[in-house]
Amino acid sequence: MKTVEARTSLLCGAALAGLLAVGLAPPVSAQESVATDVGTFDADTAAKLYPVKRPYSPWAGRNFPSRPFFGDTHLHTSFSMDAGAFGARLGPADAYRFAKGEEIMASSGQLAKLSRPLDFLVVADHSDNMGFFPDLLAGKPELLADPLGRKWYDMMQSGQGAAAAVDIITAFGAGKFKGPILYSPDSAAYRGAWQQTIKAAEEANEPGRFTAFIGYEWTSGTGGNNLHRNIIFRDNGDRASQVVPYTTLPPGSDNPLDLWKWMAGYEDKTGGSVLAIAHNGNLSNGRMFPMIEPGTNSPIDREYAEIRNKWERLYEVTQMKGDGETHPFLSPNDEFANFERWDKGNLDLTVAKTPDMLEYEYARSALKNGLKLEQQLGVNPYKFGMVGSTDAHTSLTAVEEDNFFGKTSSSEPSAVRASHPFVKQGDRVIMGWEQTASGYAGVWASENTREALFDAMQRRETYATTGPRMLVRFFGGFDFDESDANTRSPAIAGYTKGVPMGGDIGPAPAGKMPTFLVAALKDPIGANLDRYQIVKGWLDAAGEVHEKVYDVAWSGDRKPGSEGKLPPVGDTVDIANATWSNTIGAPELIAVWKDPEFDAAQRAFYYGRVIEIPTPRWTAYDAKYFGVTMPSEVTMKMQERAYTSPIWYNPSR
Amino acid sequence: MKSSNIYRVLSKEPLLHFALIGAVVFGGYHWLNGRLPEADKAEPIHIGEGDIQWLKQTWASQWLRDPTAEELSGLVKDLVGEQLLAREAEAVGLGENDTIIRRRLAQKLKFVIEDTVQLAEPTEDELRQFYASHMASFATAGTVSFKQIYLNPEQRKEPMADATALLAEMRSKGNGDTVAGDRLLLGDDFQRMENSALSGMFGAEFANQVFALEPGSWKGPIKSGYGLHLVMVTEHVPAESRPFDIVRDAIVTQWRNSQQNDLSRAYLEGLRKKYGVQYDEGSKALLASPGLPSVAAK
Repeated sequence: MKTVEARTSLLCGAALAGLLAVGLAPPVSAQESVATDVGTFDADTAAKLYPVKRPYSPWAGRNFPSRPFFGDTHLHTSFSMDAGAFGARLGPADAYRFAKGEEIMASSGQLAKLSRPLDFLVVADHSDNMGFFPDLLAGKPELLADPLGRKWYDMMQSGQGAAAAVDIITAFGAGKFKGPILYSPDSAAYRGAWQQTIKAAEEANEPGRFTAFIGYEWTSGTGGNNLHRNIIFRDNGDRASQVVPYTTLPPGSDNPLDLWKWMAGYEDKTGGSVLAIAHNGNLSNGRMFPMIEPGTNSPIDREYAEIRNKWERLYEVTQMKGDGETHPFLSPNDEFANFERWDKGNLDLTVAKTPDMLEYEYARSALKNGLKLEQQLGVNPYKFGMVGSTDAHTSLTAVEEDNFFGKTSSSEPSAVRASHPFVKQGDRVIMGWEQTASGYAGVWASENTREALFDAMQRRETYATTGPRMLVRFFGGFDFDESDANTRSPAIAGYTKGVPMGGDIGPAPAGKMPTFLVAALKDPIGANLDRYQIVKGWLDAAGEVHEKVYDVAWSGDRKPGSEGKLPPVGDTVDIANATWSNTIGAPELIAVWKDPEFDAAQRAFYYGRVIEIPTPRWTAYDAKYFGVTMPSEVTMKMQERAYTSPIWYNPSR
Repeated sequence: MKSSNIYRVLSKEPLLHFALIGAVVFGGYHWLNGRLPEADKAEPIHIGEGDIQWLKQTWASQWLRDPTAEELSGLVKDLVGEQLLAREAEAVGLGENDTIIRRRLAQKLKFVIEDTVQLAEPTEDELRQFYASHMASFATAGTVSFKQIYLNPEQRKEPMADATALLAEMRSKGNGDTVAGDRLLLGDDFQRMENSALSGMFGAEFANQVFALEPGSWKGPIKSGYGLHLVMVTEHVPAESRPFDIVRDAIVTQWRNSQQNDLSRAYLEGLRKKYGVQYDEGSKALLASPGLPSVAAK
């Protein structure tokens, strides 16, 4: 349970704790009561006992997140076997330096720098083959049995470490490094890739300023179908180094159920915490969000639902291998659905995509099927929040359209990167220009530390962006009204009267309907905002799922047309010069929205989608910079966006 | 495409994958030993106690429990198979000129060198010297506290004129706590912000300008990506160097990293001398063609 540092008075503190039970309770329902040493305590009790009289300063005694932290939960370095094969030469330490804003020489020999530092980064190299080196060394004949080994050991013990290092290197060069001394009895003496990964994170981590998470990717891709997951540790190196990353090759397994067992084992063994974030369902050919348990004919059961719900609280909805929110086939009435689409096949294009697969690989349809499964099983396996991340294999988390360093080192900026095939399998091709310059994760945490960011991820108080660092708020409850959108600090109303993104509401009090307080602020160096939409999905009495997109706040004085659709915001993009202007759109959008079609008996979810005005795509910046003409089919402009974690309405809690 | 082939092979062909790894194990071991096995000299595959311990340990580190007897015998069977395949693969020369094997060997040597350097213990003098010449990187970051008044360009016809008028008004009122201007979701009052955090929220130009302001009075307007702002800085906390004893651990880490860079470079230079590098005429001609353009950051 989140604790509050209320210095003003005990009463106030207790009242706020009650309110926080509504607002921030991570894994439990918003309405759930909290058992304390002095009895059961819930929001209603708190409100009756302690009428809220806040201190004069609106923020005093509060620990609400006041700004989002931006980062990347998914970056590969040269430690990933495939990244190395693609030419990556930068390791984890370089990756953290770049994320912190330092200028770095990219593997392709060009200087690279972010427009501004990120707040956090997870280096997530593939586990398979990452730990090869320490495996090779582990448990082999004793270093100390060898005279040279003994000598170096003694030198190190007596404070002559530097001399020993030089001596060892010299011995290597002279070819004296043979036999037993190749192996170390002490894996601390020779660290392998995992230890290097941990070390890089430990060194880069600066609580309060920059968070360097320890993590890795478990890369299950049997048959070319992408079931990849990134594992993120809340803990420091002392715990993470007690294990090695779980692999898909033996003795590991390519079954997510085994990965989840490993995660449980890690927590049992170390007392630490880990979470998993799946990605690229769009390349799983219908396997990322199944209704039938993979490898069997049996429907997803309650056990699967519980385990997945426990470990997979977030989904990486947008990244360089395409956007995974929804697909035009699934959302034919959503004019923004056709965005950065990768739907030709699975990860290696060995199996073509068929329309029946789509439902089980996009986020919106998975959220809908989650409602169905929850109705049947009592647990929703697909109750995930949203993040975006890069999945770059370059050590460079660079996804701004005018500063895009590509998915692999071989697709770092060059005159030809757009027109070269990126993946090719027979007549199925994904071209270089189809790489998506996306995305980042926005996390609402009260401070920038491993613990605070991880806990925010656990309670799904996160959103995905396709690259821009826009601020996005999304609160749900039953009591928001217009005036909440007009205060100077809407977030205070948001947290005290409702739940933030990732939370739960319901059942609705008699006669009330869900209300949402939404707000967005543009990236300070980016484009203005077009509109803020709410996407609703629900399960009707007949057990069918539905979806609808509502425009809830927009720039200018546009009026929705006859079909309720808001006209486009306009377009200032000059493709030839790769420029645009902020003469259209708004820097800030804010509104309170009430669901006009609410049925108190039906399960539903709501999430926010914020759309920017049109801006040049990275291909336009490439064409301008390199003076090349792109093939006619290349997309040259786009509308960047953000997706918030949903808020779920449950009628029966 | 070559790279996609590599990826496909890696992800799809565990058997070949194993063979390659095995070849690396043996190839690497014997390459470093400088003696290649003779394929026709039938030395049996030897499985020792150490191998079994190693298998158990590897299993336990993955599954976080010991293998059962059945699992262990499967592991041994796999290991034997892997060694047989690897030995044969090496005997028929599959390990030669393989990018992945070469890269892995290079990586292993690099790890050994780097990790060895990490064991080095600096003397007190070395540390003091390093601290003195890298003072700035051990300093606390400076912070600024300020209030801001926002003028939203979407809600005003003449934001600049409004800003000037508002500035005059605020100045004549002194430092009163009057809330004025338009709402900004980021807030109006900021405490002890570092430049990097402020840059993230308002953009670097705004941050730099605010850091340059004298405290105590309303200034501006300052432009950000959101519009115009009047700003009153209430407190500056300058960057401050931290004492040697407090940051000793950080100094050691940085000293080691710097040693590592120096020694790795020197080692590579030594290898270059030891082996020599020759470019033939054809490669020279290719290298002389126009170089990659350099892409400036945003």
